[in-house]
Amino acid sequence: MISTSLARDVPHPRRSPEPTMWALALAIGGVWFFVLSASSPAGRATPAWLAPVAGLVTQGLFAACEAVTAGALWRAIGKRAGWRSLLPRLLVASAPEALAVSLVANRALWPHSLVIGLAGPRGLSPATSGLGFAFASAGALTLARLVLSAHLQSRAARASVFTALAIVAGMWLVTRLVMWWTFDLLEGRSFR
Amino acid sequence: MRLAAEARPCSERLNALGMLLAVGALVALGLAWWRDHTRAFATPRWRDADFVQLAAAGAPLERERWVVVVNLRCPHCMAHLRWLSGRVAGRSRPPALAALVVDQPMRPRRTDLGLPLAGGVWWDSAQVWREAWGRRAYGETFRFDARGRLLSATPAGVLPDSVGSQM
Repeated sequence: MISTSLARDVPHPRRSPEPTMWALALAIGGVWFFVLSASSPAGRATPAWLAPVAGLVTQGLFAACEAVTAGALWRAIGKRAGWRSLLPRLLVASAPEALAVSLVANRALWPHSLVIGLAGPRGLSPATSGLGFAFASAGALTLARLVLSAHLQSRAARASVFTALAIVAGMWLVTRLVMWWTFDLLEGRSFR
Repeated sequence: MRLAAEARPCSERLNALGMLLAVGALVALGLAWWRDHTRAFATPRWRDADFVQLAAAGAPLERERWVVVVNLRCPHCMAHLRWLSGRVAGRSRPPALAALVVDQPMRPRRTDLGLPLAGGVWWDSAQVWREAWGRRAYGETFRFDARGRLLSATPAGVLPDSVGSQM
């Protein structure tokens, strides 16, 4: 007697990339902590750990706001990418920015043109105009961050990398405009 | 299922409202910036009558007057004023250094800024510096000739006659 049974091809459950992303994000957070510690000016009255911790918290808050905004933009074009899944990706994508900040802090050790090319004009001198302030970080490492962010977001939203690049670049440009206009309008109203 | 289906349009409406608010805020900021940038301002000119004198100036000036814009709560403007005072002190024909106190709605009680100022201490009670001249950066130094005509305007930290004409 021959018995037959139906064999179903059950797909192997795919491992979620989320834990890996969070682990990477935590590691990048650690890198940021060291970069911010090394680049805070010495001789301040406040404890040495305060500046990097404040910087790290600010970085986290900005990334969370960026994730919420990007999530809303993805939803607006009919794709699903929740802010919780975008947040670790944005933190991971900030790695080139940490390198840029570190380069600027140690600019004396590197050729001038290399620092400006990689980290943008912020390596040269403090900005004196709104336009200069807004685009002070426009260098190769910022471009790398945008491309990396677009790549990671496109995978999270299951969309093309070009769409992601349009969203990421659009958000970057809008924040530059806000920085430019705000700087110009507030200039002189602070005690810089 | 039904609840989820009802919740989705609500979150989408919220999303659209958030977008609308963000775009509105951006447009408002852009309009404020554009309005500010298209305003025409007068070229700064020194006229004693435009300001209130808080501390007397020296003899009538036949030399340049260097006016440092000072906010009394701004440490870097005061540091710049002190630095400038030290830099011109040794000159054979020093300019008359003056301080113009700005963004001070009430007449300042403090009139002595702790250093000799041959050009006097002045209070910009009518907001001439901000509203008529359209200037904003504290610590800026205006170089006027003996007739009150502007020769240059330089940011804090710069010796005014060490650079070309900066307006």
